[in-house]
Amino acid sequence: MSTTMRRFLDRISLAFIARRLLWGIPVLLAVVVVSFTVLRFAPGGPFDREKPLPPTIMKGLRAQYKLDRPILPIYTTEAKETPRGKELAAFEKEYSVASIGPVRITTSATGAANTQLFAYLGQLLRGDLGVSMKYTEVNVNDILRATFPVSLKLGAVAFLLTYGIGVLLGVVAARFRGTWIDGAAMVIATLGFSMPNFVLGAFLILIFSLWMRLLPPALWEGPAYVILPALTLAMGPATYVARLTRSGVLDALDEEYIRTARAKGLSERRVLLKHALTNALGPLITVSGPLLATLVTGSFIVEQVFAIPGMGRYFITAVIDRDYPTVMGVTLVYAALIVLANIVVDVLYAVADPRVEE
Amino acid sequence: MPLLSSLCGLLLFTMTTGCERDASKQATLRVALPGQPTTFDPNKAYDAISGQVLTQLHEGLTRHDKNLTIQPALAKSWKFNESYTEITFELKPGLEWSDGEPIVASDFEYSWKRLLDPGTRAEYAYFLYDIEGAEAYNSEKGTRENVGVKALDDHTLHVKLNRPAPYFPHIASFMVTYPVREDLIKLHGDRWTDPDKVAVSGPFKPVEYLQDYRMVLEPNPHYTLGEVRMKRVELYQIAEKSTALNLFVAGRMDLVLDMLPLAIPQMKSQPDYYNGPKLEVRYVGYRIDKPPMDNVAVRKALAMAIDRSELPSVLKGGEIGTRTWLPPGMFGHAEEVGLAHDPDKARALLAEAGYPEGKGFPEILLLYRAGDDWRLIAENLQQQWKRELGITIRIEVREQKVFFQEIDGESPPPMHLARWVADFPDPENFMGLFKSNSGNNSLGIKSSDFDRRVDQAVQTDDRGQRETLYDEAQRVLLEEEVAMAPLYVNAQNHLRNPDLGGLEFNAMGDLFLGPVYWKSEEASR
Repeated sequence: MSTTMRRFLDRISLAFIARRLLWGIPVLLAVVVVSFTVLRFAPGGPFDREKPLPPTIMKGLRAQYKLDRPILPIYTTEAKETPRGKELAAFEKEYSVASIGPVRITTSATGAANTQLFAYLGQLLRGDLGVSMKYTEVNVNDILRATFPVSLKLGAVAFLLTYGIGVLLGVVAARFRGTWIDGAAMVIATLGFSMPNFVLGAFLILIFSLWMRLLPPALWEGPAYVILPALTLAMGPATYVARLTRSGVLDALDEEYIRTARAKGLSERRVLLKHALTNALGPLITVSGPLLATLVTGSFIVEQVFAIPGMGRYFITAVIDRDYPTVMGVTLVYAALIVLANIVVDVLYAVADPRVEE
Repeated sequence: MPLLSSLCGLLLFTMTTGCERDASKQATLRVALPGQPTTFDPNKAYDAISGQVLTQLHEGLTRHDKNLTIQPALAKSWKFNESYTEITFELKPGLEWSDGEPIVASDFEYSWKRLLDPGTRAEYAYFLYDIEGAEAYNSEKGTRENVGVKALDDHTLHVKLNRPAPYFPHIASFMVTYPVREDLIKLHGDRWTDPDKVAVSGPFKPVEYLQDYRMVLEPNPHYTLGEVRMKRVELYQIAEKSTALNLFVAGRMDLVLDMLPLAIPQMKSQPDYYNGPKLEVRYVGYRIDKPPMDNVAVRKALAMAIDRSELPSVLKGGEIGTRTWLPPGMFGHAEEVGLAHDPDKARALLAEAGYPEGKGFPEILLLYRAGDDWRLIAENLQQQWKRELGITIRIEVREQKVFFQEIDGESPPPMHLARWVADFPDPENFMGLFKSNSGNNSLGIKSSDFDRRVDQAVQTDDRGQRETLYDEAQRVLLEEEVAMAPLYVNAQNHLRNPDLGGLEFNAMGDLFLGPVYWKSEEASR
């Protein structure tokens, strides 16, 4: 352990981590700008309801959420008599705007700062994700604070299961290469990989909840409630991990150093678990980052089918509701996690494989 | 995806036998709501699920019983003046909020003015537009002081109307009119509805709320309108219908509202199943100012070609085909009003409009919103029109928000599928929708004949006279102007633990858990 630790400290300077973290900032900024813009230009708005809102109410809501401003500092005009045209005219009255044909460009810094995008970026700098447009009394920070820990817990368990099941299946398959055990393990892997989440979830519920009555079919009330959804979430990635493990171990078994290890008289188990498995570690670490980020930000389908109050379902429902602040909130968390997970992976990679230089 | 997951739910369901329930563990009532409430602020509420929570927490002046007759709730009585332009509500004595403060008439005055305050941005502000000065205040043209609602003393609320409104006691039952507490709203702002801050007037008070998961209720000790027998109620928010069904089958839910339609055929014979009518009519809306829909013969032909009896067999949820606009269960319902199914006449009309056997008829669009039920209707209509009239209608789906934007947008589709769910069980609520000045009128119909009759019908409380006027108005809407074609009346389908007593549903879909009890517990008492 101490040699690993020393190797870690030797290879990973704080400057390396700091540099990677700094690189995360433009990445996140790009994610925010692109998703914000695409989202706002999508048809349908948060306040388009079955019973249309009276004009004054609509106007008030749009002003409250700053939807009456241009989205970007550069925009195109709208016909003056349309509601949108009136909003833009009001903006232009307040801030100076230059025009080239139908294109308008805000010329002052305050004008630009008061466009939707820059107003949002300013808000983000203060750590405020804004008030939801569907649940108009709830701040998105509060939604994420309530739902993210749930997804995190579920995702963490699923992550452990993924690697537990995957590595076990992979090693067993490699050890018994070409036998029926290998075949069976790979059939399980193919099934798990190709079966959609909700079908798998339904079968697990059927078997463990409704027939055997061992586990609850849904809800989120304690440890027993984590098992089925975590298993549903883990099965797909686990089979992927199993394939990676199997091929990594098989590759290693043909190598010289394994022959050497065997020649030294090491037991087959030790050869397999220590020497061959180490060889498979590289790809396993590489996929772990994005996988962890995906699992802990939650899955719409699994959270929906098991009625789990996590963050994952907002990825879909918030988009359907055009709840802009919530969509941006979940997107940001997801993007930040991916960035972080990739940094961790790079660090681990450097530790695990001495050939990797900064 | 939703269909597939529903199929899986159904698969689970059919493979299981019966429902198992542990009778000894019945202290808590567990309810599956079909989704997430958007707000717990009565004035700001607009969706049915928020309503299902709010009716447990609050009371209005009045309330509907299971036959939709209006009953006193917080009000003891009310009185109109002779011309139905003023109404005075008298509150019951000794009413208290859950924190022990007295419930007074000024709590209503404050609430109603807050609802109308343009700064509240309440969707349902227009609900009180019958009150003098209300619309002006709400649309920033008048002042708060000029709104005609006033607490004369602690027990008397006086309301001045800007036109006769004999249905007004119905209005005073709707969730947005529940009283609210000015002091708490001033103190806590938007957070005043949090369980640790709110004061409620209804049978239960909230003790815990978990966003996107559940609300836990306990009896409100200061409630005096009836004995509350459930010691604890858990309202779960379960958007996936197959999940709610699984939980019910596994004995972990006692009441599932709005059950998975696919499971209805299996559930029909069980004592757990409830089916009842709902004041919701689904219809094809025409955009009558756009060709070829601007030709009334075309609109008539399309309406008369539809065999409404096909729809319930496609949807399978106990729906009732209808050609008339006012639904059964509501006063004013007249089965024979509206264009009857007559394919021969329909073909003749289409020929008269210049499209014999459908030849040359443009491939017009029928727009619908995402949802299995909407898709089934659209597909069925497409087939019927092809079969009966020989015309091809294009059907297209839109996401909800895009759909709403398009049908009220600058180039609305010639036809769309829509619905109206009653806000209060009086024809005024259904008929007012298609008045020329209605903000909900997506059809482009502007008929003074229609408007006049609908306006006249509220000048009186004489049922016979009102019925005649509504019949005439409906004939204008459905037979002369033919601005739309009603399709069917929706149904309510719920699952409930047969041990539940005191649970009654009305056609408004109101949920009152206050009087609900366990039969087994009652028997042992």
